[in-house]
Amino acid sequence: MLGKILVKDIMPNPIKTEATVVSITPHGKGVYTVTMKPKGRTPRFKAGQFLHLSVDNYDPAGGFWPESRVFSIASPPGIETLSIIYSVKGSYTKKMEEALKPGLIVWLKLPYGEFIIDSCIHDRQDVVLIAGGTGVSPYIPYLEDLCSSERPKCIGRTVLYYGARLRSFILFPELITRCLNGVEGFQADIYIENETLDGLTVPGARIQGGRLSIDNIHNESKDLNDPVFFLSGPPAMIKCFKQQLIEKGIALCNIKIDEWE
Amino acid sequence: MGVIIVPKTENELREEIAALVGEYFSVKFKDKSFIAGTTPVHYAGRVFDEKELQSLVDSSLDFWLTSGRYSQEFEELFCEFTGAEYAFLVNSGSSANLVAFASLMSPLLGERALKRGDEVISVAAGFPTTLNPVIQNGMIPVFVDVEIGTYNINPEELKKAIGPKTKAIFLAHTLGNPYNLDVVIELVKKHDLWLIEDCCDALGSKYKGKMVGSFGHIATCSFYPAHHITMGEGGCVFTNDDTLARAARAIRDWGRDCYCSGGESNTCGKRFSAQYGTLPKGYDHKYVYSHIGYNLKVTDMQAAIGVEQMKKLPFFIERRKENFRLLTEGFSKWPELFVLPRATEGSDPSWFAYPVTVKEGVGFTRTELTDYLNNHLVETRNLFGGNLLRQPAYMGIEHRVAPGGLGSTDRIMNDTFFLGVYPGLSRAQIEYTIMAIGHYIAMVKNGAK
Repeated sequence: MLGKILVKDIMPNPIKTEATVVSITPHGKGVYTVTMKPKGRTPRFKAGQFLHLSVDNYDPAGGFWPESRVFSIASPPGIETLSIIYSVKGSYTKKMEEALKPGLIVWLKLPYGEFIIDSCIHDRQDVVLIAGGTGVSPYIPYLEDLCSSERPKCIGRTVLYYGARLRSFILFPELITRCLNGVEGFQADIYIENETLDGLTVPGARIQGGRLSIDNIHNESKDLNDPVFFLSGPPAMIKCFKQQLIEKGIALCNIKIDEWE
Repeated sequence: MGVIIVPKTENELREEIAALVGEYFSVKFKDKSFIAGTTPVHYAGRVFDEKELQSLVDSSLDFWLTSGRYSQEFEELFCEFTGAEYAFLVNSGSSANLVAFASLMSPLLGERALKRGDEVISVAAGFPTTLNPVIQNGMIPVFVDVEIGTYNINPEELKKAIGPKTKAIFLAHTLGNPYNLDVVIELVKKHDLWLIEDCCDALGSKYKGKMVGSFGHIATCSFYPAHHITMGEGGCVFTNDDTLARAARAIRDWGRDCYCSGGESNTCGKRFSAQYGTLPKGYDHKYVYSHIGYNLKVTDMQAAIGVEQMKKLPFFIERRKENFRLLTEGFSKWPELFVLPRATEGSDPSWFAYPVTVKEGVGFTRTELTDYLNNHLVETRNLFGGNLLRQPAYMGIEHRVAPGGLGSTDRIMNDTFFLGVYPGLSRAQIEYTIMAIGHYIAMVKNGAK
């Protein structure tokens, strides 16, 4: 069809689908990556969007969707499987931890969400990705796309600030290294809050102890071209970082947050 | 001893009902014998088997009624078939045209949105609901003449018709025959126009190896019983464009910004926390309207029929092509009397019908021939509205006619008709049709008319 127009607010037609759990990768202390294979065609989505997952049975003939939780899609578009990363924090994620096993059928509905990086930036604007813990999930498909040979190269720079409590919570280090090696201008700063840095290797990345700091991020972003700041992580972090960015004079239109009620 | 009756499960009951429905089908619908001169030869009709009936009943047992699991399945199958990124079921092809056109007026498009007073190029030799959304939305249709034989827009006249106010082209692939998309797309790009492909009569037609509907910005289809597949009433809007898809869905669903399906709430996770227009922050997203819309959804029962019809579509298309070929073979003996249909160069039509134009001075008129055929139980149809500008509803509309005039359009109004090629037609019915035409021609030649 004739040329597409990029705008915000993209989720024209979400669908519900059964999916089989293919694998569960534990990252320690209740953090998991779950990979699922949808029945039939894998629904299309855009990097940054999220899905609803229910471990309860859903009767499509009955219509009413059971209790579910939302998770950013942590796998790139265009492949057969869908992945999410979750951290056990409440009763539902506890239930997920107990129930999810390879071979289990779950119900998904997707895609949702407007946290689509490509749709939020103009030509040549630079991108600052700020991730707290599993908040890195929505950036994974974007980073995969950045590394892709099909990606147009006429884009701005991307800088990733990624903080986690423990070393084992730094997910997809090989992807970060691929970006550092293959994407012009890409930079990654990794912060470990509660452990020493011993043994953590992400070649090319700057690794340091302590927490993500908006002061540092803001200072380092001064050389960037009209950067857009993306915030993903725990709600308290998002709220606090957003407020700090506003106080530093960043226009609201250049702050994008991945938040749900 | 008492007998213990174990209640049947829902699935067991569904299976029993499905089996009964299959049995019912074979009693009610199976007999399709044709008796020449007694059984009508329809120009179109539903072609189905027990699967459609079973699917319809299965959906009715859900009693979900509004769009649901079958609607989703249909939209997925439709996307797979057409290669479109997004498909939205609506309740008719006319609604599809309305939604597609209204999507081009979406505020999401900013400066590129169509506005009142813009000109939209179309043809007058067609179906009214390709034109109606243009008029209803306060735009000015520009009518371009068509070619006899392809019955599509004349590409040379199209080039001359584009003016400074022209913003869109809205054309149907007439009776399944794709128009010259090379020329149309070239003009669309050159003049930065929107292109809406009305594929209501052309599901499965290809141009240079690509499905029609995949060339323009947005496209439409119809599933009325006369069409390639049916769900009774139904239609579809399809596009690859994210923005137009968002607009189309909103316009179909009351104009609301929310995209929750029936029975769902807060799928966006921001139902009570976002800011829209000048509404108070947190105003319920379910009742936020970002477009001027309608409710044009289908019921799930219609979609359930459509799911089974989609599975038969490749077979239907082949049957239509074969019937077209048989009619061409039959008509080939009268080259001096009729202009036969001609596929646009580079196209592979999934024909809706077999259009024929009676040549001038042959001793009979179109209407005399079609009256004869009608009296001998062979249905024909005129090429829809003929020249729409001569229809009562359109005589006073604001419009422009392209410099070349509408000579061929008037000729079609007077001299063209079409016969059916639908997959329910048998070889015997087509042979009878050709025979009936032959008899009429013989009568004319013998002066017995």
